[in-house]
Amino acid sequence: MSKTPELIVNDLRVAVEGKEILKGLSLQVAKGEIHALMGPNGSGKSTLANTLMGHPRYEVTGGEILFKGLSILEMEADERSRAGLFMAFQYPVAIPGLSVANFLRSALNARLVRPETNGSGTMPQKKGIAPREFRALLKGQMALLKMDESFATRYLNDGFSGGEKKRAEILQMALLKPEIAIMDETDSGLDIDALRVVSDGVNALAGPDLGVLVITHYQRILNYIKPHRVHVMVDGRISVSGGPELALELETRGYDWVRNGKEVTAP
Amino acid sequence: MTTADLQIQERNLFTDWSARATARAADAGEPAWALERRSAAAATAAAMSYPDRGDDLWRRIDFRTAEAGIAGLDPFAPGPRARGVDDLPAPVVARMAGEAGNAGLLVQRDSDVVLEQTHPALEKQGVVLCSMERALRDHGARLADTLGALLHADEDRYAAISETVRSGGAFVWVPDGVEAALPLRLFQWMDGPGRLSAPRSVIVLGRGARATVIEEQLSATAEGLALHLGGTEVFLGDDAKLVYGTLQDWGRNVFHYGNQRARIGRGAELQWIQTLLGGRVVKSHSYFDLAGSGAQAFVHGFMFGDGRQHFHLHTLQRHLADHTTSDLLIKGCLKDHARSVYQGLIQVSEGAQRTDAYQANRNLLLSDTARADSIPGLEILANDVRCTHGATIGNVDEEQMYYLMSRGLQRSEAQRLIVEGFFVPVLDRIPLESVREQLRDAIEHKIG
Ligand SMILES: Nc1ncnc2c1ncn2[C@@H]1O[C@H](COP(=O)(O)OP(=O)(O)OP(=O)(O)O)[C@@H](O)[C@H]1O
Ligand SMILES: [Mg+2]
Repeated sequence: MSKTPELIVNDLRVAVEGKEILKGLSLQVAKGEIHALMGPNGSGKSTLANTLMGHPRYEVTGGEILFKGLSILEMEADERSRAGLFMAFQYPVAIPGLSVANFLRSALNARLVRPETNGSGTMPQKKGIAPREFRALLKGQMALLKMDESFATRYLNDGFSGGEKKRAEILQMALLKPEIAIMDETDSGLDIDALRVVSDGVNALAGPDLGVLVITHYQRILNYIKPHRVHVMVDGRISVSGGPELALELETRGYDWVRNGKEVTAP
Repeated sequence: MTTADLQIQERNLFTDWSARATARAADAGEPAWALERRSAAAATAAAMSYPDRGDDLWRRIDFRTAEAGIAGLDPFAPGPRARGVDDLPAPVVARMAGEAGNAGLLVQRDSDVVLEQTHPALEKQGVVLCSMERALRDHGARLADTLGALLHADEDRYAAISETVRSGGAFVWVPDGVEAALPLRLFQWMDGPGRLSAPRSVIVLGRGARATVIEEQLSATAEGLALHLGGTEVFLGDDAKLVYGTLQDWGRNVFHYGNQRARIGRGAELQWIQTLLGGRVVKSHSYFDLAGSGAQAFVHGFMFGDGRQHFHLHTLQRHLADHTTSDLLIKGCLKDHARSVYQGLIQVSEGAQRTDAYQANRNLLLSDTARADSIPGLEILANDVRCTHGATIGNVDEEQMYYLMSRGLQRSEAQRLIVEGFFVPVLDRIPLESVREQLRDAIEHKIG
């Protein structure tokens, strides 16, 4: 592809509480592409996802992250989100007392009323999305994800089942319309039907305007969400990259052959 | 001046107040037994000094500023009679949110009840809603064994002062078997500094009766001390059910000490909601007597302090009979230099077997200079009971902040949503949507 990828990660080094987790990781994701990232437990996949999203606890000690040509290292998570980055959490966080609907409306409005674009003087405070319009939008998206309407009034991730949490993540992604989305083990904990619903949801959003990085342990989801590229991460680095067949190979051979350090670069 | 001089001066003050209060009350037709209590209380007040550090219920709050200014306060500031809602102070009218016609209304302004507006629907049912002054005249027999039955003048110095200059307050009476057709709304307003307001209210629900009562305390912030020393006694007959909300939002110059008592009869249920938002130094004692077999109390409350506000909330869940349940949740949120103390005691008396008592206190600190203390206590004399309590104090959860911010919400907005959510379990209990909405606004305003 000739155009510059929206997301470029170059030789990224990240430490958590003084311990280096990412040790020179490079990766590029462009809009229109689907990448899968696999790798053994503890190899640093979630660390990568959270570092990209701007979690304050992950300290970037080297390398760079470019989003749409600009470094985002100095941006807080909210700015990154409004710039078009999204991460579906491996473990979504519960916020008791905050309804799904109230949360989503606030998140949408945060995109409409952007204080940092308010450079000179005061921008007329926009009212945000009209309640009726919002309800229709939410209802439509929830129907696509086969979520019961009562979901909107429940408190965010509070007492949600594992599957409900993952659906709620996709619902957020659908409403926020990111340009690059990172999905951290969105498939784990889903039953077969839920996996299909969630995958359909992602596929409905995928297309020329969205780049996706699917973090997973299982080939299974890749039957639904077809990746263009598959990367294997071991000990804080991408050790192998290849086409979709790489995922199948991992499924049968496990990680040991990659871990053993043979740099096999598939086509 | 010497201590002896001060004591004489103080005795003179209380004697003067007692004389004036008694004269006014006698004019208003207060029965002799009530008048006698006032004079007795004046003597008690003079005999009791400022609660010292040895008093476990007073050592964590500082009322000395109020104490120093007490002689300059007017306990008899008259409130202008209102012919209708339109004559009331604008903030009170705003709180009614256009629903004044859908409730029984009683409004106190400084020392006087200025509006008593029952409703034909309530009158038809025999529901009584009137000022304490009128009730002492017209319903003396009903008050003789309720007023002062749970709350005594010798409780402490301020309870005694309050009884001495008692002014205003409401009387609510719901006959046996009646479910009040409309909510009853009580307002207390203070017009400015320099006032001492001391209303006493009595709420009585007969056997199987049901009602919703909401009391709101409001004033505008002004320069100078004001003191509010109120008391409320609630009586639930067998199988009665009361939803009672007491919502305090005084101006920041007000020192507040409120005493609430409830006695819950056999099989009766009390839903109690208490919120503390306003005032400068605020102390509140809410005691719940589960007096009849199977009685239940569900208590939800919050304190939200900012600036240099200081709150002290003391609750007592007193299980006096078997198979009684109490379930209490108090939330505290503090910003700036605000401080809160929650002191909660569960008592289970000997005969109160199969008691189920629960007490939770959750605190959220929004600044490094805010402080919350939680002091739980259990006194259990029965052996077959379930009592649990727990307290937490913490800052806004960083993972929650990150999660919300990762969806594009600014830090301040994310915090606002988390803090609002923190109050929701209490807000959800408030029976009237318009009142809930106003509290939500007040909270939002306070978050800033
Ligand atoms: N906040 C943290 N504090 C301390 N250690 C952390 C933190 N986050 C990650 N780590 C450590 O970094 C390493 C990588 O963790 P990470 O969660 O990124 O792995 P992962 O590849 O996502 O694993 P999994 O497949 O189990 O989800 C682990 O050793 C983990 O313990
Ligand atoms: Mg992970």
